[in-house]
Amino acid sequence: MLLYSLTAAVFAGLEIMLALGLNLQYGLTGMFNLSYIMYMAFGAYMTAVLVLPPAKAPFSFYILGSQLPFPVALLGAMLVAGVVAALVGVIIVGRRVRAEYFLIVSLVIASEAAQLIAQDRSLFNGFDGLFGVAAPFPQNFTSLETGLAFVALVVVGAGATLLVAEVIRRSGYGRMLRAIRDDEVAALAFGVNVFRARLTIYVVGAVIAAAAGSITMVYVGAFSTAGWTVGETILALTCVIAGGSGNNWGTTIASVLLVGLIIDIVMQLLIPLLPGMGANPSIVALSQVIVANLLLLAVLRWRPQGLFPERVRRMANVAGGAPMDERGRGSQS
Amino acid sequence: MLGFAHALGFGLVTSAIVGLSAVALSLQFSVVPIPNFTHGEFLTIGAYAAFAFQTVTNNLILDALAGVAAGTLLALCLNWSLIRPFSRIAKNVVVLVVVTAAGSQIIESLIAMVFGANDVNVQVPPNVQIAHSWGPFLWTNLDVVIMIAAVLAMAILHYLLHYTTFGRCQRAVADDQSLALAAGINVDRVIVLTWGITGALAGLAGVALASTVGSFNNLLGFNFLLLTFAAAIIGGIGRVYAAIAGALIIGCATEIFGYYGNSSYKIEFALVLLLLALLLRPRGLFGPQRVAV
Repeated sequence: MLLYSLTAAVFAGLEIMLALGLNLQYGLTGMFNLSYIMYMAFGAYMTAVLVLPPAKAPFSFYILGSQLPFPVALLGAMLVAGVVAALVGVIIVGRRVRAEYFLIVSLVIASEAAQLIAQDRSLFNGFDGLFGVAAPFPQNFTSLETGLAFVALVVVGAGATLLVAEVIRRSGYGRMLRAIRDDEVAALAFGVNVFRARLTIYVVGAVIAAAAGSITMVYVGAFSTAGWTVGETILALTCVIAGGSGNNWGTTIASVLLVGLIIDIVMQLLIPLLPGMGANPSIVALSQVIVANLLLLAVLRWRPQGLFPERVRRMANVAGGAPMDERGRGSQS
Repeated sequence: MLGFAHALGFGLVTSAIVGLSAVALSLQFSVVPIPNFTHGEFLTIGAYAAFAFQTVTNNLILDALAGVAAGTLLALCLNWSLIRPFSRIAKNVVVLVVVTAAGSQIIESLIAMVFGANDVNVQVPPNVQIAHSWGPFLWTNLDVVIMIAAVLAMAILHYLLHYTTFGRCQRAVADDQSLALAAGINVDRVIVLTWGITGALAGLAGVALASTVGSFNNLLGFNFLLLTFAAAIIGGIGRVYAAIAGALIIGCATEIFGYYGNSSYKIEFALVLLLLALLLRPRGLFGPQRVAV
């Protein structure tokens, strides 16, 4: 039970990182990016090939196999994801692609990448994925100590992510991003370089996702394209929207409540107790998906601004029209 | 050259299935401009309905009709439970897409709960699965039936849209919703009927897809969604006839690429076409480059 709650804590922490990265993109900048999970996958794969010994040819194929220590691999994974995101972002963020088309473009990019990695065995062992990655802690740790060490690791990771996200949100840069989200044309008119700002946030989000993927890899020990679904992005988005789009603390709390408490503890324990639920072993996973999505719909229906709405400082509403926020000052800072 | 003709023949079969699905999506988009991520589930439910109805009868036509009915029902339910209520409160199209994506995940999981996670298949009599030459093409009887069904469905749709009162109203709503409302057209009714036709066509596409792929699971339709988007968007989304052209391009291009290039990447090739289309001509290849939404 204690060990299990440690597991739930680690997954909640990883979800905080993922959701905060997505909050920067969707909540703050207004980009709904379905390729988000691709960068988590890159983070996981890169970490694995940097940590693992070289591939044993007939059984597994992958690049590198550098046997580096985990911290180096983490940084390497974030770096690679950032570079890939910059290259992909230049293509897909730059055009005047409407929001719903950006969504489809990003989904296509992610599914193409998943197919390439699944079918080309030489890169990351194809469909089977990579496995056998050890925890980055001393061998003589007990399972309790390892669990606690992982909790410490995700606390540091989630804390660092929260710090970065809050610094961006509070800065003049964050104001500029909100201006782009709320009225792109007005932001353009004030001289904001919308393309560069979106591209930057696309890359920052990707780096955060890669860090989460990297920790996921050393925690779970295995990763394949099966763990790479649209549903993962939607789950992170649920945390963002439920917490209040644009509010980092709200996103954090929602991630803990939704993933840590509801999905990993309440549902994992309660559903097997229901009568007739033992027959189908995947029933827990399926009902977790259903409940998470129903919660998303419920929030969007009855509380679209989220549990903790983003606080917007408003300027005096002289004209009696729509309330103004600080978008005018964004371009000067 | 014969190989090319065969590849083109397979392409036409793929085009027929993609076309049914893409025309359905475009028809819906013309009156409800949301990229509907639940569209794939219309296909999935059609396929599973045909699968389930096989316990009642082995007649493939009746099974297909069960699929059509299931698709229609799901589309109407979706409109009633998600699209209409959320369209009223959310003006941001991204929020509506998220709603349909959530709906898609829920339906996928429910299907897996009811039918189990294992693959199932729609039984097709073996005698219709033998390929023989039809001129330069190499088709099975099933392929021919699918293509005839697709052409028939398009013909019926064309008749509905151009020779009935509903069709005139539907095109009016697609053209300008507020003007149609001002002219006294019952816009809500048109939208509901359009969802019904969309579901019917998509359900039929699902049955056709299921009968050609062999075994399938709850992700059948979702995995087909991007191809549908590709065809609809390449034609110019929301324009019903352009979707047919888009489907022909996508279907034939994938099979011909599969013949000359690497056949395990043929779907990816279609998606690259979609990416190029979206990035270079975001409003479709054909017709005026006006804002489609």
